[in-house]
Amino acid sequence: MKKKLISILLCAGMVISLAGCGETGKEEKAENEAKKGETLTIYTNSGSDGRGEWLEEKAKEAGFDIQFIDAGAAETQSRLIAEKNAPVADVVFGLNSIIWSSLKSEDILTEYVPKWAGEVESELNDSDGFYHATVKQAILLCYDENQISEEEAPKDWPDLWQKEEFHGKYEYLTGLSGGTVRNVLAGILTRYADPEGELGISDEGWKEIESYYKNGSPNESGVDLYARIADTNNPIVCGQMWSSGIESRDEQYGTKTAYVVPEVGVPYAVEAIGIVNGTKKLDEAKEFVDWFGSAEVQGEWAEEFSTLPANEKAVDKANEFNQEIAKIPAQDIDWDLVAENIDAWCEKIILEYMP
Amino acid sequence: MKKKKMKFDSGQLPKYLIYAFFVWFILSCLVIPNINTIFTVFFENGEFTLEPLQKLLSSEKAMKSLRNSCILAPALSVTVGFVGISLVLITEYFDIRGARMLRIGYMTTLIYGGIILVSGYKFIYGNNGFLTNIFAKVIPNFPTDWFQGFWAVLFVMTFACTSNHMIFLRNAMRAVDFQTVEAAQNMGASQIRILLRVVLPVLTPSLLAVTILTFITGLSATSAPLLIGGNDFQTITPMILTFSKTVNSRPLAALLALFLGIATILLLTVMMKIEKRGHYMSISKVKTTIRKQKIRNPIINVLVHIYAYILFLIYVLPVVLIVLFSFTDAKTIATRKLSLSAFTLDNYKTILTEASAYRPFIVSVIYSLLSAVAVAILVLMACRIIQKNKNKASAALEYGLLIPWLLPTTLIAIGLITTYNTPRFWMFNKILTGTSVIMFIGYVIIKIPFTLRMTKAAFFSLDDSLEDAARSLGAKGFYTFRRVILPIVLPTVLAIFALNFNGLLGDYDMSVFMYHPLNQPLGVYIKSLTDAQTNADNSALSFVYAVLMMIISGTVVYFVYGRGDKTKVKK
Repeated sequence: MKKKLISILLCAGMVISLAGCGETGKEEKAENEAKKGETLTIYTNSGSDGRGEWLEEKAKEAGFDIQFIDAGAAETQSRLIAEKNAPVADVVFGLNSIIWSSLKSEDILTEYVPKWAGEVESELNDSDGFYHATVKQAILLCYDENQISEEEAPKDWPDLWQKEEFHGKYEYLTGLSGGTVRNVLAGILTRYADPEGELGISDEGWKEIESYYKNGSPNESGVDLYARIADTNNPIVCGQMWSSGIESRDEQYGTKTAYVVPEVGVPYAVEAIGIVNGTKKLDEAKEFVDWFGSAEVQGEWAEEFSTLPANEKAVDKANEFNQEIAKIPAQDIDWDLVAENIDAWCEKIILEYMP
Repeated sequence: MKKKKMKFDSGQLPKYLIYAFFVWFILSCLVIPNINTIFTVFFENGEFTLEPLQKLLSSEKAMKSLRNSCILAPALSVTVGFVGISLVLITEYFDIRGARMLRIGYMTTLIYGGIILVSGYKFIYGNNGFLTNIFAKVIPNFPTDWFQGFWAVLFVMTFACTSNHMIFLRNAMRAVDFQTVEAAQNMGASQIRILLRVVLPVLTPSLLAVTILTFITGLSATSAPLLIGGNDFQTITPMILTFSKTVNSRPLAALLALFLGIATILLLTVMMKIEKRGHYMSISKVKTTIRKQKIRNPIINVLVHIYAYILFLIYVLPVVLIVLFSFTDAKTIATRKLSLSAFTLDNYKTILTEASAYRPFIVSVIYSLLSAVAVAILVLMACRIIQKNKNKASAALEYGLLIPWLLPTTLIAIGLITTYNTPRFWMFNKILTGTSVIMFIGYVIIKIPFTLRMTKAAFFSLDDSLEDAARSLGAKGFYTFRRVILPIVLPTVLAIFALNFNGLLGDYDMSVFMYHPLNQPLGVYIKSLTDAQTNADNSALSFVYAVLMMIISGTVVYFVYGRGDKTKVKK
């Protein structure tokens, strides 16, 4: 009796880990044998709002079997790096240029030039062929036209902190791991690039950024920027927004969004697609990339989710709003400088400038 | 004699196997994956560096946040202790009208927490909140942003962190022997004297244990400072979380976490010393359960009733509002203006009709269930070893199992996937990264310290004489454990199980790094609804999920308490 009970207890303890391991081994094998590389695992930060389900269905029609891991951009990057020696993902899409260039330098990606690569503006693709652009997203300074007119609105980011009338009326983010906020920072800081300066930025640049944080209002966790803009009791009238998020928010909040078009242009966050280095399903992955970035799929994606495709043959499928966005000039940003320093910039800002 | 010796040996074998298991578990799951993370703090490209330390020491904000965390923790221990003890006295000791209803209200913190809980409080006290609007109407020039900073954080967290009191202190209160109370009464002791001299000493071990937990919660406060701390009262954990998300800033995150970890260890060491000084139990062999005490002084009686019902309102209102707001849209939630016209069933329709929406529920329920059970078994074994052997090895076991308190969840998760993305002989050459097992291991790991702390407290309040009696009647070690000890600690173990289950159900920090593509857990799913990449503001949907999770958690708590109460009655 006693022995039996002991063995039960022991089993309970051991099973936790040992049996667990055994099971995984089996599972992995089964996956490789049965499906012969047909199921692609895809990492993205762009699978929410029904985009994942939509794509799954479309892919099925085209003969692909796909499954998603949908997480934030920073989390996706961390996962990919941590899984480097045993990659789980076959394909990654979404993210932004800063992360793509770091994935490339970490040796996470494998080179593949898809059939549609030539249909995309060449500056948007990786020159070595590791990742290729799918969607362009303008990173904008937005305000509600119901509340302030174009004349009253800021003309460029620095107006926010340089002109007293905007003090306390714009929102900045306290978390700096998101793609949008990093593009905003890149857009501001690279204007003050200085090889002699700290982390490649001149003293003046750091003073400006200090002023940006000093005179703004921090975001409230769990509260959308538009919720604050729409609330007339709230002093906030403007803040950062990615272009494809504007239309649905106007609908939700009854706002009439207008955006600032600075002379220097705006930063574009470029979403792209790449194949993970070490995938066992390389051929299937290549076929998927060819399919996903094609003008046809990107056009449908644009129609369905109001995006601005990078594929020039699909741009006409974008709606009127995105056609307008497409006309905004792109800011000339030294992305290599950004990719090299953005983590250190964010650290410095959090430690020294954020109130 | 010979025979006896042989039996003894065969009894030793499983014991050594269990020891071996713990050595293996602590090394491979707790020590090795985390060592690397700590190394990154002091070594860059193989060279020793103090750069992260310098960066932090020269940052005014980091130092201020650290100071704030260190102020919050002791302050919270006092306020939570006070409120927690009053809750237990109101529901279990004094004769208060409607105590059953009050108890349900006080237990609402068991079923929700984090951002959702703080949002609930903001609906009442924040800008545009119900109470704020009333104040603004009555008092001219009332500052509508009054609910911000240290006092607001302390207020919300005081009421948010009494779950442990409602469970463990309440269990302890039920173990108070009524005969002792009666004896004191017969000797003419006043009510207050009985409370202070007879009742409270019995509660001390549990009180110590829950105070440690409150202290740690205070040190690592996240949602409350983020949402209502304002510029002046930010704490350290949000900063740790931000840094740990960025690959290159991880050394900073780990270093900050180490600061907190060292504070935690110091506290634990002090507490363990106090605990070792001895048992506090008033031991009577034939216990009678407590009979509720009527407060004799009529004025005090009325005041206590008023106090009890004010507490009730504070606890219940946020829950009611969250449920109400889950039937509205994002705009209503943002502006906090409830109206009948904004009432809609669309949120629920969206979620309940989407096939992909309920699968995360199933995944999370299964993972949380398995992990909570595994943690309970693991820790029961550990506690038995710690209780029976008071030597260096058992101390090492205890400290070893507390390691996960040293690092934030995100870093533990990253440590695990980085360590086990190649075959390691101590993990039987299995690659764990990307499998469905690793998230289970992760869940178990993060729940060990809390479980150990509370289970141990239950073991310490055991009456040794029961075990002695069993042994002298000829019962063997494991038989005694199963038939005598387990039934006594079971209510506590079940309560911990419920807390662990509810805590894991919506986990994001660990899951996002570990989940298998086929099994997306709830926390990740909900987060993806409200993530920055979404095209719409889905805050209404996250309220619906909060309500659905409250229902699941509430069911679990009910189930556990239904059982817990029955066993009590049987005894």
